[in-house]
Amino acid sequence: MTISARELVSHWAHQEAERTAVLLPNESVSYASLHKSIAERAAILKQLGIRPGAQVALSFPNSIEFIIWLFAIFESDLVACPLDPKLSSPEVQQLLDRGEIDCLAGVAPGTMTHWHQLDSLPDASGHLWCRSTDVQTCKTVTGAVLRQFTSGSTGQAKHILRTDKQLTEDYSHFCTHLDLHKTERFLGVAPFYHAFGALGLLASLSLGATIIPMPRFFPGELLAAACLYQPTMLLASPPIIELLGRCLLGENEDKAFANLRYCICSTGRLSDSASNAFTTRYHVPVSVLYGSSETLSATIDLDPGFESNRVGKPFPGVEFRIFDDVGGILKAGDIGRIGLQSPAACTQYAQSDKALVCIDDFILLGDRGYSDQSGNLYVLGRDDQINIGGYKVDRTEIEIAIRENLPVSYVAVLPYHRAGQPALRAVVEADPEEVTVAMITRTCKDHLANYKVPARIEIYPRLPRDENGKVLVAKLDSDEVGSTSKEQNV
Amino acid sequence: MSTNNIRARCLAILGSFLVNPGELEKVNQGASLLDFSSLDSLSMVNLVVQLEIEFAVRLDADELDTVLATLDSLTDYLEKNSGGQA
Repeated sequence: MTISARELVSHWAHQEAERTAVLLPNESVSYASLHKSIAERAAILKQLGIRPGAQVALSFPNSIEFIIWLFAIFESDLVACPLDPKLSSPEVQQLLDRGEIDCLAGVAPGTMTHWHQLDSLPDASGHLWCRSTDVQTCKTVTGAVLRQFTSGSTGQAKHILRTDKQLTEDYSHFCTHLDLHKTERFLGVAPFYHAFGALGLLASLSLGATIIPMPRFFPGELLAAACLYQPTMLLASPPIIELLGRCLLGENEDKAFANLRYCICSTGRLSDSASNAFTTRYHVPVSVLYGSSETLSATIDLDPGFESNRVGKPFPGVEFRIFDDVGGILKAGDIGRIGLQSPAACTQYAQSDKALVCIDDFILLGDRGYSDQSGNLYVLGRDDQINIGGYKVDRTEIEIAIRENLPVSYVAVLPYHRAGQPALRAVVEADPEEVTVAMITRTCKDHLANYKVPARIEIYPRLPRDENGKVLVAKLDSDEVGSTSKEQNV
Repeated sequence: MSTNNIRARCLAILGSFLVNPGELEKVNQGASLLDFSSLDSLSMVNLVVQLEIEFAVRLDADELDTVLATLDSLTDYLEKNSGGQA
């Protein structure tokens, strides 16, 4: 039986009222109690007179407040727009302006002083702010329950209006494929505002299971929570897996994940070393999940033995194809452009000036990879080719050569102009004491044709990353990268 | 382990996180560790993990605003909580 996203909490509040929906440090919140809070909040929203279809941004860390606001917005026929609560006020303002979002639920909106507080809720609930004193002027959208934002790691964030049906498909195929039950306990550390964290939250609620929201990530706190609550499900980004694999362990914390059925990692590339360290320490394999804001969850790797590029097989109802540069379908083993088709996928971006790239209803996300004979998908990197002196250069090939031969945590090959001509620049995250420009140059010359050797190489101990650990590629052209780099014009 | 030794080891770790010119110098002169753009939220977690590993001390996340206020407060905390093991 599939329950629609908007009705998840109300369904279990009626079916099994006393089941535990949310576990907090000092409280166990039942589905009935949670629904009561949601209904009270929804009543406030309705009383304020906000029209159906109006958008309400949510700015909360993972918390019961996030859940109450999200479902109160759903029950009021409004559209929820979850934001990263760590965004600066100017960043929030930009997202709200571009999305024509006129209401914000959260703490005081910082420098957005012209916004008007609408409610008189207790402080712990956050507050509701509106761009105007007249809520009737709020812009509305139709057919959507959620507005999500892509990471913006490769440029400006794109907006996606999500239907209830797409969300429902996402958590339904996830729960079915993994054979999840109402007895699951989800450790909610992946940010709820992001598609991956939202998947965990909605999956838990769809099952009538229990979620433990973690408002922030520090390994010690997470391990303490895991020891206490003995979760069966952990959805985590690569940096979380990596840090859990090497952090200081307290007594018995190596048993923190003794009851985990699945540790699922997504939002970026997980290294062999990070996966191996986690598994060695906690005796739990890490399963990589591949997807995107556009397609939601698409594939999951449940095969034994970790392979860093393998992202597994599609969820039920999802298909992938590998395309060549002119749209032809490639066979297993051939490297090409990855296309995904899913009933959970969006059909367009919210902004009219942005278009999904598709071939035959398969969305091209800009990744390059191949499939094997077993039907597993492998993702090699971004699908970007640069024209260098008449040669078409596959950036992924250069990145793989560097990544697989040197101890780097990240590498991006980017175009730049040298004396007016296109050239290649490698931006590398590594310990400058361990990896030098000369070593990178030598590696490239040993594995690649001369014209593929980057003309400029920059090594940084740390690159700017978002909350999920994804490198903010759009910032690699700016001064925000930091200045302790080593450069050389080869 | 002496205060100077702990301080030196902290500075060595901080040096790999505070990547903009002059930041480490400012920390050494008493600036707050929480005020630098190099330390985004993920870097902060990494820093905490590095310090915990180096000194075998679990830092209380609820006390980080106090502990990381300055290099002196960090050094004091580590000296008190390492039990001589640092």
